[in-house]
Amino acid sequence: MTPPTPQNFAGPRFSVLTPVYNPSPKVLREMIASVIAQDFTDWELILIDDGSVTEIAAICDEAARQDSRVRVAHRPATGGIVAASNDALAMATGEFCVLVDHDDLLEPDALAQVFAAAQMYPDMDYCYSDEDLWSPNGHPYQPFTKPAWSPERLRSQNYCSHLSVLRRELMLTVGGFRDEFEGSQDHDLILRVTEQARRVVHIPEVLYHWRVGAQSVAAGHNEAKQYAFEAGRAAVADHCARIGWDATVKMTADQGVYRIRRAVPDVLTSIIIPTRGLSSVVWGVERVHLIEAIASVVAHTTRRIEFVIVADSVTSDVVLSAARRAAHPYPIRIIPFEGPFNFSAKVNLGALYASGELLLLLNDDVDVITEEFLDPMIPYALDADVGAVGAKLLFADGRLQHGGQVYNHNPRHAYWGWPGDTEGLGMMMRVTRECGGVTAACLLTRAEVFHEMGGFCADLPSNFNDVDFNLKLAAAHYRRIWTPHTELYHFESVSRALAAVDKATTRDDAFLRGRWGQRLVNDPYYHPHLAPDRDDWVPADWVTGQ
Amino acid sequence: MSDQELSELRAEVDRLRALLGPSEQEYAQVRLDLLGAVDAARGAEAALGESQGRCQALEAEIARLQRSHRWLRRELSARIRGALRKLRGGRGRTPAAPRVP
Repeated sequence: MTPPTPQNFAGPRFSVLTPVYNPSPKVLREMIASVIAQDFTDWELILIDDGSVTEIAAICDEAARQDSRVRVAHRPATGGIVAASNDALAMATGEFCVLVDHDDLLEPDALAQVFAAAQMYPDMDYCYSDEDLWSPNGHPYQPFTKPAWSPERLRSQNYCSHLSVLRRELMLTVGGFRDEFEGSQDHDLILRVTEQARRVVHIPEVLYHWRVGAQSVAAGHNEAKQYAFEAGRAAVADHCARIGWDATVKMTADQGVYRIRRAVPDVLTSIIIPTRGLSSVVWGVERVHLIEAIASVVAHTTRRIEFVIVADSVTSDVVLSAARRAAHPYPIRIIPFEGPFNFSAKVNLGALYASGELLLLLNDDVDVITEEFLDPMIPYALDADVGAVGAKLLFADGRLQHGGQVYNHNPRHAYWGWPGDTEGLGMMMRVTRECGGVTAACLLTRAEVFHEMGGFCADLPSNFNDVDFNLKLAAAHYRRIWTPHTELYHFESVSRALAAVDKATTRDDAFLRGRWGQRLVNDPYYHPHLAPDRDDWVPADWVTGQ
Repeated sequence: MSDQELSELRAEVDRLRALLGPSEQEYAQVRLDLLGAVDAARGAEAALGESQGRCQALEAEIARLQRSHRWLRRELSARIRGALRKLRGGRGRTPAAPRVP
């Protein structure tokens, strides 16, 4: 495939940058062969021999002799991956730079796919693809099916990783690779490039094979890479400073995953709780949900809050009196709700009475676990392009109830019913990230956004009203953020939740599909190659036997 | 305070104690027992949830292992075919299958 070359551009389309430092001769030859075998031919491969042994240097020279598109430079002494990468960048003449490690492999159509993406999106400045891990015997055992562009997730981990393709001009503008982030220089570079990128594109195909060696980070042998994770933490902290976030960044027990704590502005949050004043048995004792939910909120925050309780007429005065006492010292309003049950109408009514800049929609059958539980949510909710922030919800038995909504043919919850400490594919359940939507059982939004969306749809009285609200946010280009750093119990019974799924053919379901169609199928934060109607990131070919 | 008032107050204390149960100490003990029972129920439920959650996660793991199993079968048959081709090339005919005793 020979692409048209822009008239104002004389170099090749792609410069593949590969610092080389003493890999096994076999894997280096295979890496070079995987570039030479590309269907797309307009590329150059720049090998920077960073002071390798003679045999490796000879392999590089031999490749250059055999194919004029392979260019080699030998550093006089080993300078490290940043120095070698910057040498490669300085030699590059391509429109885009492609980062490939010396022991990995490209799929034969990798560059062709990136080229197609660049044709489709001429303003593409950064592109990343899926990748998989290969065992030493060539077994591709773990595909990493990545979400669409998720800047929040990139701040918590370098999920983009391989294959990364960056516009060379922009790489030069931001200053290339930086010494002080050696080990996580790619993460640092991607953060800086994407801050200025006009468009970021994700190709949902495995274009890169990460070969797992005995000491590879991919194999989990991370002890030797501690310096790299510290560099990654520093890169994220530097990024936060550049974008004006008042935040601290810390490493977590999950290596390569960073926890960002943002400063929390002093804003009033109105906590809207629709209720019927019901009780049920939880952990063996009777629990009046409204009273206990309010008490747990009061016990777990020192932020400025007010309660807006929207109570059905069946709610007893005794419960409401106790709710007032439980809310002390915070203000509480009890708003009576007349008419047949309609969750959406109750939420909308509560929003009308709320005076906070932020609205927290909260079910009455919850119990807060996290100290200062609003703190991980408030800063994101105040971001101009964020429409809703959700939390990690657990069933009474500790299993996951909500880890962000997934719209995969039916609305589902990520890893529903899995253990509460599930890390998820690529540690996704340990990081703050964008998702399809968040449940209204605990949903923080700005009042102005809530009203801009027209609130909840009263035509959806009991099911899917939150899904509809999230899809309205998506249509208006507001991000939906889920954080694992706020945890609550949600005493919805597992059996009741399953029954709700069984009712997917009800009128509410038909209404939702009529309104949103393909948006219920193509969740940008799920993946087209995963098995339909699941929420556990299992690829379709694993269950179909293909 | 007269004796009569004192005895009336003592009677009231007895009445209130009767409402609570045999004694305040026993009431406190019952409260502790209740909290202990809640903790036990919570722990048992969490243990059950842990098991059920692991079962759900294992379902995905089984799918992954089945896929690996299929890959391994394909890989083995490809290698066997390759070895047979080499042998054919060397001898000009397919080697006889080993006899099954």
